[in-house]
Amino acid sequence: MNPTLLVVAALIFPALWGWFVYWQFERLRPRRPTGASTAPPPVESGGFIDFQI
Amino acid sequence: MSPELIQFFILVPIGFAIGAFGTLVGAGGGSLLVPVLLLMMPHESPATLTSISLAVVFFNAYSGTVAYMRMGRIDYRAGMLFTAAGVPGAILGVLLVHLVPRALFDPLFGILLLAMGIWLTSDPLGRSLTQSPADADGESHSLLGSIGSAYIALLSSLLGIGGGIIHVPFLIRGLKMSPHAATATSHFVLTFMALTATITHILLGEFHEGINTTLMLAVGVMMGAPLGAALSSKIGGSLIVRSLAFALSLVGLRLIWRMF
Repeated sequence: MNPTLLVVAALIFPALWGWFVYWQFERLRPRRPTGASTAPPPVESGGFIDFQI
Repeated sequence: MSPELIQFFILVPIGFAIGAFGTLVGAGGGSLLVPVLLLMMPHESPATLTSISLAVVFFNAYSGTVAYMRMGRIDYRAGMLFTAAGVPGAILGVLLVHLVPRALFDPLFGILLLAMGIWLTSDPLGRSLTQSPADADGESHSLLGSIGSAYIALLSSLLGIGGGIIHVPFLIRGLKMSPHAATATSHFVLTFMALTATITHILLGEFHEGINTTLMLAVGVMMGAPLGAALSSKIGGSLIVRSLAFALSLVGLRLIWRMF
């Protein structure tokens, strides 16, 4: 194997590969759907609580 | 007593000590093992010694990782990202070891390790926060971690030291991980890095001379690694970093000493 090529690959390749792997991981990361609310779901009928005790 | 048995009774305790301390500081123990192998086998080639070291690092890292998995300390997302980033670097490092003159590279790297050891001793925890790279500002941390892990894998494979001794300070200082999470995650990454480098050494035909030595050291290492993992939960983060700094300085001095 060409030594110059190996040294150049050792200097450049890790940065490119590291960035590529990061990009793939970010693409595959599960994301919350756009516009989804983070608020708790509304209380359904029958769930009335009287706080004025 | 046969020479093999004498060798067994010497190598198993050495492996035990390296396994316990290596797991405690989140390193695979290769940085401590390489100097020991250099003293014990003065006539072996650096390629054979690094292949033995990396194979032992694999057994130690595997054993330590299982212990850390049970403790639930590994950041798996970060660990998988850094592993995927580091595998090609580990292969390149083994290929490069035949090209780089060790007589020049070793002392330079020794100075780097010594400086890192002194820096960590002066301020063990620095401004590190207890968080994962996937937390707030996680994108820049993950990118830095991914690229950094790729270069660390290459450098550590080139030196035959596994890489935990460089990876742990990088995770603590660069990515602001807690020392306990950093040591466990580094061990997880190290398992795959050392395995990749060992397979590359086997394919290049550099491993067959050291199989017996590797297996004897591996027995000790696999007994010592769970002890190191158990000790790590009883010892504070500051002491772990100080232990790592001591190990870094020791390796640095050893590499500089080889120059003379």
